Amino acid sequence: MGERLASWFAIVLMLGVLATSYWYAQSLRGGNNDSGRVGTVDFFAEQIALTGFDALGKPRYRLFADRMTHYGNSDDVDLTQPKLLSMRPEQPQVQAVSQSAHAQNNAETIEMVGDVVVTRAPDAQRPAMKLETQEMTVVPDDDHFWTKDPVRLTSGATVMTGIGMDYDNVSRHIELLADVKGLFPPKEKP
Amino acid sequence: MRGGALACAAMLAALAAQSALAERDDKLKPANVTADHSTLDDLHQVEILTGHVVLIKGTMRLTGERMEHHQDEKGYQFYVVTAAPDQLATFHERRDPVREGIEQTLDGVGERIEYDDKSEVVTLIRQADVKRFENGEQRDEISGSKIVYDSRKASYEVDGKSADGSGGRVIMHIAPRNGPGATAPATPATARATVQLPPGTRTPASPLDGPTPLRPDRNLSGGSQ
Repeated sequence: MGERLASWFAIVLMLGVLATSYWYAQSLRGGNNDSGRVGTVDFFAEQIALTGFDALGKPRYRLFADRMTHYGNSDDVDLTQPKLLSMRPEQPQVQAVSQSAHAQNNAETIEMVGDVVVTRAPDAQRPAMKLETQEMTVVPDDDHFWTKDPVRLTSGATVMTGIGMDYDNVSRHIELLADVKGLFPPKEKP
Repeated sequence: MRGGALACAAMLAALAAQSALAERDDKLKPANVTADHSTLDDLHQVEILTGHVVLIKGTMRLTGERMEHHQDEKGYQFYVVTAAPDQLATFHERRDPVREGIEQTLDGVGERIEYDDKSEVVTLIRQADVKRFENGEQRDEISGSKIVYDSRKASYEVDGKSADGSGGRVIMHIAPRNGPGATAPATPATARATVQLPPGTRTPASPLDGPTPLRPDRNLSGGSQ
């Protein structure tokens, strides 16, 4: 009787371990079923904040996301609801948000996807600036943003649209690459 | 009137009697611009548009190969349009009618055209030429190396000095108001200026390099020297 009880106990224990490991594996895959990434998830984290530093140890950018999933083999990272803050000294803050993003090589490049919005805060001389598109590539270390998609650029009351964009936040130049249309409002309103 | 005086010939042609103000509504309308490419210098707040640039603001139209745009802190807009090599930038505007049933339009060209939204002054620079039309019929034409058109005062200021500062000429045509052949022919900048005046029109101070007899209702042209 005692031996039988011990066997049952062992079986229940085994099933428990099996169920727990299955649940754990499922939870790791959860939310990333359509990521199409090669490699296995080695960790994930929620409500992350990641800071990139320059050679002098000063923070250059901060990256926030609701959820981060890291792939061990490729060192790729998937982010949901990412927010990237450029922290260039003596410049108004530039922020980029999107629905999701895929970062490669330790955030060397970040592909932002879905309702991408880049904003530059206003300062004493300049009104706020806003860029809207659907997909955008960012190189955070170079403060460089570009896309091949249609873009809407709002600077103060001026609105520009175009196809393709190249934004260098170091030189502070924003290029619209094709089919540019602009609307400059009148000073005096009717 | 030869030489230096001619070189710096500046003429204020107050055409108030025949002129009208720029269409009032234009000032209140937004400017729509199209181009192939644009660069916003976010630091200096200057926008540079290139490739088949067209700006439309109410009835006003500016075209060229490159346009620089900036606005001051009060929100006034400034545009500088330049043409591609061997081409000219263009300016077009419809004006509020002075007399009922007569639509006045202006067509100007220049290698460079500047438009100041604040003062409503249009400056056409190098190979500058402005024609005025009434119901599509050309009424007068003015040429020089620089034409400053004040759309509020409806006046032109023309400088005949050429780009290198040597010599130059102001050419003005005013078509007879109701006479035959009312459209003044385009006249190249020959050695002698040509003026065509309708009867009763006040002769503006003219930098002609010789007394050219003026006869009403006829196209007078000076021979080449």
